[in-house]
Amino acid sequence: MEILSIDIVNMEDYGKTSKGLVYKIHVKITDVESRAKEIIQSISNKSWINNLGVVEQMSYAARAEKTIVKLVTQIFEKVDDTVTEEFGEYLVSESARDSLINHMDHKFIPLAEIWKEKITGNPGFDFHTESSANLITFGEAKYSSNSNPHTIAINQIVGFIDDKKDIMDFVHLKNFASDEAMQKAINGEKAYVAAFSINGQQYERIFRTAIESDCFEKLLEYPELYLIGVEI
Amino acid sequence: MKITEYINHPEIDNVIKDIIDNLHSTGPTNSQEFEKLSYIKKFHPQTFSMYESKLMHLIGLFYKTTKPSNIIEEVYSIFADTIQAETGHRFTPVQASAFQKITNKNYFSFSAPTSSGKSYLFRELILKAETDIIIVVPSRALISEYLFRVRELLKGDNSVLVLQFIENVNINRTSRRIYIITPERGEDLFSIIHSLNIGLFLFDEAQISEERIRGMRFDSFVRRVDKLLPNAKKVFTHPFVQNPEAQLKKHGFVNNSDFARYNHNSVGKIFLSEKNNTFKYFSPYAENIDNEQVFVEVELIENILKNNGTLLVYISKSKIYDGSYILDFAKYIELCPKIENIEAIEIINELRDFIGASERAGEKHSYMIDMMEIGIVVHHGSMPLFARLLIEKFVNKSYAKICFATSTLTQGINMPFDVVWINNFRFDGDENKKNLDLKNLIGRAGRSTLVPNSFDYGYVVIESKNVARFCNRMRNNTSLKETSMLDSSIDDLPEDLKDISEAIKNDSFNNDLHLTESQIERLSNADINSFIEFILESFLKDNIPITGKDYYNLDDDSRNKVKNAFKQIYISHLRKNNLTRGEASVLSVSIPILLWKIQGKSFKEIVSLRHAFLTNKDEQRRILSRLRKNEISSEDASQLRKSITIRHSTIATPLPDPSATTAGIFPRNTSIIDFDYDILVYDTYDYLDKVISLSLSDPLAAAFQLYYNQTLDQRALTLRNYIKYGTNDELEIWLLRYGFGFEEIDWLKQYIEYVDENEIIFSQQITNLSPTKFELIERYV
Repeated sequence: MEILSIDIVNMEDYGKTSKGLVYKIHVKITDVESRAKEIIQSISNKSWINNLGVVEQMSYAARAEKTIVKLVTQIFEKVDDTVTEEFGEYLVSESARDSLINHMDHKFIPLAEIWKEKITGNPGFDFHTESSANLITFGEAKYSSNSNPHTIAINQIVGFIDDKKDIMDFVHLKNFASDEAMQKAINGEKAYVAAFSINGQQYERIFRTAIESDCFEKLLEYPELYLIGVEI
Repeated sequence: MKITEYINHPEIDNVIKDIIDNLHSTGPTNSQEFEKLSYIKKFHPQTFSMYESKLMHLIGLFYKTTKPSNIIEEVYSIFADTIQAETGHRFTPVQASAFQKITNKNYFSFSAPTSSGKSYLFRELILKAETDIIIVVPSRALISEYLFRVRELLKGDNSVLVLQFIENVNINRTSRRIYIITPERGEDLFSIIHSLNIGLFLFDEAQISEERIRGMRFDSFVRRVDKLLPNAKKVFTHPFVQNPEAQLKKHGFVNNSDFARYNHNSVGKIFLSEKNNTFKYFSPYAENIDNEQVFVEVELIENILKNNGTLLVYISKSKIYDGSYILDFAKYIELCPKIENIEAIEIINELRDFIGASERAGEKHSYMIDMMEIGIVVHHGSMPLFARLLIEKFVNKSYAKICFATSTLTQGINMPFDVVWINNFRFDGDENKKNLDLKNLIGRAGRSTLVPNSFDYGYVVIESKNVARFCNRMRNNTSLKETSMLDSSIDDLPEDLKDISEAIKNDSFNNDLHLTESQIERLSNADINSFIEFILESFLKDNIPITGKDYYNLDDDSRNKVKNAFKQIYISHLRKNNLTRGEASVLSVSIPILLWKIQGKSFKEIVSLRHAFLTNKDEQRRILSRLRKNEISSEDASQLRKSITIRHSTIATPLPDPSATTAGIFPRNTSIIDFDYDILVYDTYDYLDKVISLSLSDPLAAAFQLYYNQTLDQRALTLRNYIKYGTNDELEIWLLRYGFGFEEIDWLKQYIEYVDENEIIFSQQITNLSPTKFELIERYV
C-alpha cells in the first residue's frame, strides 16, 4: 500500500463551510495478494472446521493459494461478480483503515472484526478507529469494478447516521475506545470516513465530485471527515 | 427470543446473521439455532434463500453446496477441497474427522446425532477396506438393512463375501469377507477367527453395552476379539451420548485410541404440541416451557401430506393390533390416495404373497395390505423380517406417506420423515436409554435432501400432555457406564438369566451347541433318554418328520405325550424343574409350528395351516357340505358358521418367562367371522422367531446331539439337523450356510452341480433363470 497524497480540503474552495477538518487521501494498493491471503487466513483461522482439526494447515494453505490467485486475477481484470466485489470492498476498507493508522496516527479499534467477523456482510460501519484528536471514526468502504462509488459510500454513512447505527455501536465501542473519545462520541463529536475504489485517472475530479455531492454536505457539521480514494 | 419473534421479526436478516456468525466459530452444534433457522425458512422463505448457500457451506454439508458466491464460501470450499484431497472423499467435516481417526488409531469411539452421515462414512470404509470386516449391530432388522446396503454397494464384485452370520464359505472365490452380525452370533466367530484376516470391527449402535444380558455379551465379545486380534481396528459408534470414551475406558483400550463427541446438526426441527387435533408451536429449548405456545393457524400436517410429505407415527403395538390407529389418524389416512406406481404395487403384491393374504375381501384378508395400497405402512417387531424389509424398501423408495411404527424403528433403521409424531410416550429401559431412544426417534424428523443449497427441516409432534416430560428428556444427557457389567455382580439377576450371564463372565459358552457349559451338563445328566426315544419314534417315519396334520391326527393321549416329552427335554437345560402354565402353553402351541418348520413349509403355508386349525376349517367344511346336500338353508349355514368360535392359541412369548400368560391371540368366544389375519401373521412370526429360533432350537438340537453322541442313533442326528437347519439334506444345509433361504433353495437346488465350503458350481441351466432369480445368486456365480 502506498499513500500518494494526504491533503486537508479547504471547503471554501468549494463554496462551502465546515465545522471541522476534511481530509482527502489518495491510496494505491500494492499488496493485493497479501491482502487476499490475509482475509482467507483470518476467516479460516476462526472457523470451527479449523478447530475440529480435520485439515492440515499446509494442505489448506496449498489449496488456498489457488483461490488467492483467482481473487487477485479477478480484481485486476475487473471481473464483475459477487466474490470480486466483496474482496474489493475488503481491500478498500483495510487499506483505508491502515492508511489512517499508519499515516494519520489513528488507533485501531477492532470492533468490526470481533463483532461480526466480517463474514456476514452486516449492515453497519465497516471499520472504526480513534483519531489523534480522540474522535471515534466510523468508516464505510465501497468498491466497484467500473465506477467510483464515493457517492454510494457517503450516502450510506448518512443513512447509517439517520438509522443511528453509529450510536448502536457505542455499547461495543466502549470496550476499545478511550474514555475521552467515548465521551465525545456521546456528545455527538464523531468522525466519518468514506472510502471508495477509484477507477480512472482523473483523481482530482473524482474527489471534487465527492466533495460537492449533496450528501457530503450533511456531514460537514462533524469535527473530522475523511475521503479516501483507493486505487487498485 | 420467542417463537412469535421468529415468525414476525421485522429484521429477520439480523437474526440469520447472528446465527451465521456463531456457526462460523462454533459450528453447527446448537440445536436451538437450527430450530430458529427452520422457523425463518418457514416464515421468511425469500429472505432466508439469500443466505441458504452460505449456510450450507458453514454447516459443512459439502455434498450440496454450489460454486462460492462470496469470500466466506470460498474459504469453506477450500476446506471442502482440502478434505477431499486428504481423505479422497467429499466428506462433511464430521465424516472427515471420524474417517481420519479411524484411519490413524487402533481404537476409536464416537457419538454423533442421527443424520450426521454415518452411513455414508461406513460405506466408504467398507469400499476401501482390504481386509475382512465384522460389523456388529444390535438387531436383526439392522442386519437386514446393512446386508441390503452392503450387497448393493459391492454389486458386481463377487470377490467379497457378505453374510449375516459367520461362515467361511466360497473360499476359492473370496478375497475378503464382511460379516454383519448381532453380538449373539459373534460366538460363531471364535472357532474360525484365525483362518480369517480381520482388520476392522465396526460396533454400530454400541450403546447395546448398556443392556443387562446383551450388554455383557457385547462387552465379552469385544474383550475376546481384542485379546485374539489386538491389531484389528475397533470402532464404536453411538447416537448422541455424552461420553463415548466409556466404551474404551471399561476395557482399558488406552494406547493408540481416541474418541469424539460430534454434536453437529444437519437438519432443523420445529416442535408442535397437539391436543384434539389443534397444534401449537413450542420450543423444548426455551427457558420456561410454560411460557410460549403459539397456535398453528393452518392445516399444517395435512398440507405436508398433500405436498408429498411423509409422516411417522410412533405408536404402541396394541394400537396397531386392535386397529385403533386407523380411527385416531383417520383424518390423515383419508388424504392418502390409492397407489398407482407399478414398482410400489409389485412390492405390495410380493408382501401379500409372502404372508399368504387373499387379494379380495375374504377370510385371509389383510388390513396391513389394504393400508399399504394407499401408502400407509405399519412397522413393529412382530412383523416378519422379510416383510419388514419389503416395507423398508417401500418407505425408502418414497411410496409410503404414513408409517405407524413401534420401537423397532428406533433401533437404528435409517428412514427419515418430514413429521415424527410421538403418540406413544412409553420408552423401555432406564432413564438413559429412554432419553437416547427418544432422541434417536426425533432424529428421524426432517429428511436430509440432496437438493443443492437447501436447508432441510422437519416437524416433531408431541401430545400436549407429554410436552413437559418431553422437554425434560431433551435437556437430560445420556451417558454410558464406565465399567462393564461383566465386572459387576449377577446376584440380582432373575434365575433364568444366571446361566447365560455366568457363561459370558467365565467364558464358558459352548460354541458348537450354543448353550452354556452348565446347561449342557444339566442336559447330559438329565434323565430324558426315554423322552428323546419317544419323540424319535413318533416324529420320524422313514427318517422324515411327520406332518403337522399327522401330529394333529394323533390321539389326545399321544399328543400330550409328545408335548410332555418336548417339555421335559426343554426344561432339563434350565435351572428349574417346572414350567408355569403360561410357559407350558406357549411350548404346546409351538410344537406343530416347529413341525411345519422342519418340514420346510414356507411362512405363508405355516400361517395358512394355523389359520385352518384356528378357524376350524373341518367344521366349516361340514356346514358347507350340509348346505350342498340341502340339509340346511343358506341362512342356517351362515348362522352356524358365525357360531364357530376361534380356537384358543396362546400369544407367543420368548421362553423361559415365568410371567408368560395363557392369554390368547383373540379374546375367548370370538367368532371366526371376526378373524384378523394380520394378527395371525404377527403371532406366527413371533412363534417362529422368538419361541422356536431363539428359545427352543438350541436346547432341543443340543439334546438330540448329546443323545447321538451317547447312542450313535442316526435318527437323533437327523432330528437335530431338522431342528437346527430345518432340513437334513446336505445340499440344502450347504446352501443355508451360503446365506440362502428355503424359498430360494426350493428353486435353486436343481441348478447346483456341486457345493462345499470352497465354492458353488452351478449348472449351465442358470442362464435360463429369470433376471430377479439370477440377481439372487449372481454373487456366487
